[in-house]
Amino acid sequence: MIQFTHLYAGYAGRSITPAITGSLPKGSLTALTGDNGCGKSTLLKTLAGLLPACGGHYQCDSANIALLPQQQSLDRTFPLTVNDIVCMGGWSQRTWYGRLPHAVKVRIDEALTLTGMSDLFNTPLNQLSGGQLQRTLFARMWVEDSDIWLLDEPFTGVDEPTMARLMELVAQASERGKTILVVLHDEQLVSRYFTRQLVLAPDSAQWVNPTVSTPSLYRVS
Amino acid sequence: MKLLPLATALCLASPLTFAAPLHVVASFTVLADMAKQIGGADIEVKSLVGPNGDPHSFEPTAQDSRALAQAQMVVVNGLGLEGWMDRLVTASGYRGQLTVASQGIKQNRMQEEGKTIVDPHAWNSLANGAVYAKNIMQALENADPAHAQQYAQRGADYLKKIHALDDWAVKQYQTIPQAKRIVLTSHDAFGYYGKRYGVTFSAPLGLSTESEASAQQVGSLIKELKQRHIKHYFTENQTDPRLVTQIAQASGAMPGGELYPEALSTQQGPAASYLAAFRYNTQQLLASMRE
Amino acid sequence: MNVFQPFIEFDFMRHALLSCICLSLSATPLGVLLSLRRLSLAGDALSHAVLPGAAVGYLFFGMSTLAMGIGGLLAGLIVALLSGLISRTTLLKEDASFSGLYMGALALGITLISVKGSGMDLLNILFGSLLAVSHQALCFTAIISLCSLAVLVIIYRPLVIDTFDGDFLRVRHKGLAVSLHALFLFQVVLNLVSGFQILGTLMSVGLMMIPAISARFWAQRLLPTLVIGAMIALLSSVLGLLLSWYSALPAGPAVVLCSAVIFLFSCFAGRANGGLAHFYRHRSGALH
Repeated sequence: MIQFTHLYAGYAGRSITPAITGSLPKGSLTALTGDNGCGKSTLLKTLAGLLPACGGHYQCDSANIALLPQQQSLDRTFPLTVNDIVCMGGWSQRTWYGRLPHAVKVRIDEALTLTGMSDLFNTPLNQLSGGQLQRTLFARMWVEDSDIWLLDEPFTGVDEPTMARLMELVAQASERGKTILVVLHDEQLVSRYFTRQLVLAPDSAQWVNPTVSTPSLYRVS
Repeated sequence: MKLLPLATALCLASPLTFAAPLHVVASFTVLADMAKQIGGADIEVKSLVGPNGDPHSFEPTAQDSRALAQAQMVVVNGLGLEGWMDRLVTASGYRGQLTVASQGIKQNRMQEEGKTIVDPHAWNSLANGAVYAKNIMQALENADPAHAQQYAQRGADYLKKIHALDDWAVKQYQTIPQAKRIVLTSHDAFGYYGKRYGVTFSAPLGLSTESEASAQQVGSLIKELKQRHIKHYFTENQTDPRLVTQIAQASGAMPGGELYPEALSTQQGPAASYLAAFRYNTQQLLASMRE
Repeated sequence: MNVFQPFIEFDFMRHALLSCICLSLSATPLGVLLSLRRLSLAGDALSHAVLPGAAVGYLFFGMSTLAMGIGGLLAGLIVALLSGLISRTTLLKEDASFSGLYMGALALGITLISVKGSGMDLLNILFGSLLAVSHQALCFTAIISLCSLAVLVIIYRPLVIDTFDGDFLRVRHKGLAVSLHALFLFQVVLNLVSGFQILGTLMSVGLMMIPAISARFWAQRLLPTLVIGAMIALLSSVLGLLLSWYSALPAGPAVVLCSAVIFLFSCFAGRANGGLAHFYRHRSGALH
């Protein structure tokens, strides 16, 4: 559950979003859309705690947050394999001498299976396609087992079947009680999977119900 | 008619030149000290490389350049010691005579890495030191004829001291058997000294402290030391003692003390003048050989 | 005749080799991580930044390894902290703020040394005396290498995570990323200080970085890259010292030169990402 009260997101004290007020209930699945430069990534980073809010405030009932970054912020030549990346998700659950508990190992296998990366677990990062890397990052997120998922344009450069598979994963996670916020550009995707949408524009932040054919405005209590 | 004002002007001007000391700049402390001994109160000497400094690799400052520009006489060693001097002289705009103190000495040539180079450390032999003193004396007389007599007098006294010390050193070394006259030091600064007084010096660095020793040089030096049973090694006041210490440990040589081959010490130190430095060096070497 | 005879026969050769081995084991893996964190030139900058600290140590205590080491460590840390502060509070990124500071630090160091010492001392500090490593200096280096390796083992996993995806660690563990970065830079400075009495401030970073980036051409995974980096550094040390022995080249530069030659060779022939490997992959149309 995340609550915003006149929240402004931006960099170095200068906000680039309008005031945002509303909330994301526990277990909700919300799409975050808007034109480029309206501050969608910035809002996500602020909610993750990476950037300080420029005004207003927000409240998260859990500190267990996972952020799925945009692919271009990662170094594709880094000498890691799929397995290394997915295991990162379980890092904070390791014992003090570095061993992974059995439960975490089970989750890792589960994550690899759900994302279809089990066969590729030893593949180096620089040999992965965009879609495969995205699936790897999803698997990592799955292992983390956080209460809140913040996804930043997770389907850029990903093909249809992969997208469908990953959205399945997201829907499953939402059903398990995770609060999920996804930055998207594809309106079709939004209307297909999401019941809640926050549309950001330079001067307005509107909460919308996308499953209704003509979007109508209403305030979320 | 024009001659009278000119003569008057000259007569009036000469007392002024009598009053002000001659500005002399020497490249390093040994030359500066010699000049001071001969010039006395009639000159003002500045040494570019200071006490305990290294004349092979010296970084001149703007002050040095200015001192050079205002100098009336400049003394250098020559023989390739001061690689930085030519540039400094050109840069400072000094247009006077450059006195090369080593003019006329018999040069030692050495083979280093396939090339023949001249050993610049000529002053370490007092026989050459006398030549240096004569050259400096002559230069002072030329630059400041008004005091020529004083320079000649002081020069003659100084030369007497040099000859006396030289004789003493020769006699001292004659009391030591040839086989014991071997020493290890940092770099080949004692070539002329060794030739004059019959001492063999071994060193890891070649003729200049600017070179860096290779493993081959160090290894062959250690072998040589062991073969020749060299008992003592000396560090120098202006080079890094670590390499010499390493070599000494490997060959079993004992530390004999610190020598002053190309820089005088400060006034409080044991080698505050050229002759004091020579006496000190010689005493150290003799003491180590007599053990 | 045994090619390694000089090492067997002479103490100073063994000391030189052992000190290079210590450096190879602890500094080169750090170099790999430094290059992955996009801070390769910062390593270079830090090695120069160490100089004024060493100079102050030299001014007060002469050529004392301990004094110059501690002084160098403090100076390096100050520059690292300052540049971190600048990059966090202004628009400059970390590598730019490093380059702004290190040249000034280098000039300050040279000035300080010239005040008391001669050009010779300066050259020795800048270029080190690989052949003059005393027993004490070797122990000093070995202890630092051991501590550095121990710390690296402890912080390895979170450090790698932070290097690959900085935000990942920062989301859950805010202070940790900053502490890790600080500790990592501390290790880098420590190794540079340990290296400067052996190879000098100008070139100790060479043995840290060149084998590290060469290793990228031979391995696909991180741990093998670290190991191969250390091995290349070891190889450069042995070859460099042998070259200095048999061809009478100055020792320190010979070691760094060998590592540079290996780097060029790796660029071309490295199995993992070298030029030849790329060429053959394109030729056979392999998918990647």
